[in-house]
Amino acid sequence: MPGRTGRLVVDADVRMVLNGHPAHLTGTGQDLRVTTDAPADLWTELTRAELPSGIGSVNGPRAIGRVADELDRQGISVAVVGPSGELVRIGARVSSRLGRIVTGSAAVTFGSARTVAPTVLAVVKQSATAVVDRIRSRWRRR
Amino acid sequence: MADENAPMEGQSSNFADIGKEMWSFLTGRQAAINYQFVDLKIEVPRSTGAEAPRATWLLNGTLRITTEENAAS
Repeated sequence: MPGRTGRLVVDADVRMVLNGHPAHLTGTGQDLRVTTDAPADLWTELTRAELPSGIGSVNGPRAIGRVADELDRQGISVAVVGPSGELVRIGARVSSRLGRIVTGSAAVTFGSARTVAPTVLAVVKQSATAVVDRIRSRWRRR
Repeated sequence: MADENAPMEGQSSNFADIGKEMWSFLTGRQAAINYQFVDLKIEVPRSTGAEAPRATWLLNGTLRITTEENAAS
């Protein structure tokens, strides 16, 4: 006798403002989409969140891989779209060798280099600025 | 006779477990969870501790989650 499994079906229309950075979650069925004008700011905001230990940290690409695997199990895919196009797609119906290398999950695929490059550069710049600020702050305290 | 209020073995201890159990319970029962967010404000801590700086996340909109049952071979 065949077993029975259930899949999530989502109908979303949620406008979010994460510390001043707007994003819009939309979708019907099993394909969702997060649209944002400032993907680098959104990424920085998400990775700075400190979540309860029961949920776990969202820091780093490995955490994205964990989320992607869970979405894959539920049959859901989420695409993140910036001004230059689709940056990343995670979850179901996604398979990428690069995704496995970077995040530990093949259920993560990245957009084209042209699409992704501006966001990666902006994230790197923000991270570098944060590191410099921290060093300056420690230096002043001495 | 068993005490109905006594904690059961394997009882949920965090949100993730409760979510999984809720999902298992709802699957196949054609249940729907509807959320409507109206200026929902969430203060998200940047680090641990009572005095930790916080970011503000605002949510507006609707989210409906249902389950779809499939026969697995």
